Amino acid sequence: MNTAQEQIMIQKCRNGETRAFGPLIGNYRKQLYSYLLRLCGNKEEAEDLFQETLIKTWMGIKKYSEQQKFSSWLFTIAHNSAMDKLRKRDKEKMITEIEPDDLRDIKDPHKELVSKEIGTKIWNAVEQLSFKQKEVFLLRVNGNMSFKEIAKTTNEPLNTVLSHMHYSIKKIKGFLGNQNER
Amino acid sequence: MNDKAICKMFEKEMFLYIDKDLPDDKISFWKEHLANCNSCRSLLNDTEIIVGSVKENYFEDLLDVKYETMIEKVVQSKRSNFLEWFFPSGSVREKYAFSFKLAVVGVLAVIAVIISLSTNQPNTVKTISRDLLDWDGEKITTQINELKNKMNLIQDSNWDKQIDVLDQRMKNLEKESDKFSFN
Repeated sequence: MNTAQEQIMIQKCRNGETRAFGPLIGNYRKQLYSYLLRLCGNKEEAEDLFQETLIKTWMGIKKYSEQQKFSSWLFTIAHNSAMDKLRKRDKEKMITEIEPDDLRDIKDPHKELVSKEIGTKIWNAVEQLSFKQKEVFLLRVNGNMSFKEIAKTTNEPLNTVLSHMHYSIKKIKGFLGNQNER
Repeated sequence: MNDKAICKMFEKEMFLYIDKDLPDDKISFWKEHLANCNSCRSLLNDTEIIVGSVKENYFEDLLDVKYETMIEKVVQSKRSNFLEWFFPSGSVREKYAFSFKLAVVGVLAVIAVIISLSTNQPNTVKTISRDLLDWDGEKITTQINELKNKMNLIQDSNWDKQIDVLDQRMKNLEKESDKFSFN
């Protein structure tokens, strides 16, 4: 779906056409769910957050301004919902206590095609990032947000965001290098 | 600036360069630098490969049925603006935003009343509250009773009779005065 088609879908949603909402979100479904799952590390919570994001998006679609990318707006909503949930719990605890069952599908390369092996390794590397690094990395990669948008969403200075991204890439690169040596 | 320092600077600005979030002259400068610097070129390539690989490999997804059910629930959940204003859906922050605002207004109102009462300057709050505090039920009851007694006195007095007596006296006086004039 290109930007023009997306805008038509958004307009339809604003007019109350419920059938337009599924395809509009469907465009970002995988990225959004993946982002929430990676960030909170728990399938059930990721699904709850996904639904919460959908509700807020649907309820607030009239307030959406075309000056912002729809994907950025959507991911900002998801990010804020996730942060609210994360704040309730001990952040570090949440990141380290990833339920193995929830990520089994992600980490099990047998379920995936061989061509995706590199992707699996990268995702495993993403798991090694600190919370802040993961937050920035996922907003960039899954949310396709610019660094200025990420800085605004996370309330961090632009330089800090750039630094998190820089170290994320460095860490992932290092992790992949170690994996290849084994 | 030596090459190492320039490369270090590129490391810092690389993501802005990717986003084209830099002035045109800066972008041209980095383009030129990348054409001549293997290290920065390889850093940029590695970054793009890593980001690209992640983007191509979203393994996790919701089941279609689950997704469709969610969408169905969401689009049917639109509530009236009135309900939404009082009980906003979504995050805890939003849910309690209204209650929080209400609480803040309440606290401010209480503070305003306390300040008004404690200040030396006369003000409406103080006047009303003093009137309320000074209100003396007994005093008012006594005043009402006094008024009632006065009303009863007026009713009890036989004014007509008094006037008649006065009238009769006047007539008698006139008669007597006539007598004196004839004499």
